[in-house]
Amino acid sequence: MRSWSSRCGRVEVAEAGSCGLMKVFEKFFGDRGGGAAVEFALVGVTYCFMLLGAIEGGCFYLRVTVLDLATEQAARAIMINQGANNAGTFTAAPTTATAFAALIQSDSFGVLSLANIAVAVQMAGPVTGTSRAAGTGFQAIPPVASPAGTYQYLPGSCTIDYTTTTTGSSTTYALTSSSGCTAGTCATSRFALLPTQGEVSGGTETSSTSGSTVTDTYTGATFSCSAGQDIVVQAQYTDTSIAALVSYLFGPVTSTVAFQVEPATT
Amino acid sequence: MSGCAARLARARGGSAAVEFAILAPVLLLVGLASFEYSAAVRAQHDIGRVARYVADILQNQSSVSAAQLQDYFVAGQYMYASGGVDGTLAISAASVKFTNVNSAGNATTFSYCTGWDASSAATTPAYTAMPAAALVNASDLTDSYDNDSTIIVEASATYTPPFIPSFYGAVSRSFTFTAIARVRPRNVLQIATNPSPGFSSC
Repeated sequence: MRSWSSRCGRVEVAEAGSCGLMKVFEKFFGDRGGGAAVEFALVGVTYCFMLLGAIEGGCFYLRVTVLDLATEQAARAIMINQGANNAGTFTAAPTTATAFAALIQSDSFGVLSLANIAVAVQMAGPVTGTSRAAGTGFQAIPPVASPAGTYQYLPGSCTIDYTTTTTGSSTTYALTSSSGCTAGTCATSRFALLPTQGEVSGGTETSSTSGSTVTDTYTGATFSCSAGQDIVVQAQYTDTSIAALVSYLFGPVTSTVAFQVEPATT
Repeated sequence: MSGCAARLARARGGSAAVEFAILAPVLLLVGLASFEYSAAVRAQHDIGRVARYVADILQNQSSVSAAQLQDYFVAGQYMYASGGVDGTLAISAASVKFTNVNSAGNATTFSYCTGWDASSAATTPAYTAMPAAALVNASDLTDSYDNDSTIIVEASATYTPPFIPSFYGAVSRSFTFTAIARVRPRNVLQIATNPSPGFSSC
């Protein structure tokens, strides 16, 4: 049993009460034993918070990097009209917010959870003719500050009949008729871009040869005019793990990619 | 007084508190620096993305107008601002063509007609003619052949660390991040500039 000296003389702990309450305090604060334990109790909590904070800080920047990468990958799927996730699985270009968020998640190495990903995909005004009118590009897209399932990318297409005339290595394209091609979706004037951008696919082909000239007639082909569209995608990740404190300090992680849709391949 | 001073110098109590007072600012700085460093690395990463994507957009064009360049600058701003960093973004770009081969097979001269600078925090950047040869290094010539063509995009931004200035008050701790991206034009040998104010047509 511990004992110490006081004005009451040398006493046993069990007898402390006999000298009054003040004496108990005096003995308590006079005691030098267990100092390390008391100090650890004070410092340990702080230390644990700092250690966890360092780990969480690392996780935070991992999510930042992964979100950047995954958003680029998902944006690229729209850009080239097809995608492949990190597992090498080919996917179609996403046409809904849900599909876009799912593509980001599948590219995130399992770091991001789907429920916490908010996305915005916004398209500038359609391209009409062979060049873009002023003010209809990226400037026409309002800052995508609050991604919440916004999805304004609508790949435009319409049905056309056309012919190609090939002589030697030279090919010319001619539009015969069109259906559903409007200035707001797919202006027929964009057909002039076909030799370099090849935005047409499918259709029933009929071929005829006259001398060295081959004429192919395509009926019911799909004319796609999403190429050249200005698009801004933004993905935001809100943390709900124990890193919430770090998220509180730094806010949700946001990643933005601005790009133009590439010409389709034929 | 001398008694008090002597007693203070002799006193051994509270040494842990004194040591902590000396070390705490250092520890705090190291802790904050780790966050500062990560944030700065991300800002630099973002600048690299801006340069790459603006170059990607440019390479698909055959010619560009001032309005289009404004658009591409805005696109760069969207990307840079989302990282939570601010500062003035500047983008310079040129579509450069190398010509006049020497006996070693290397190009000796280059030409460009689409050089421009854009630097503004506003959504409508003010463009100036690009300083001659600002983006082309001497080594580009020796590494190039006749009719080689490249688009050079340089993005830079001033970056101010979030924590440090609060310690130093008015003393500026800003520095500049720069990234350069190069691509080849896809449709034409050299991207032309549509005649418009502030640009020399090509």
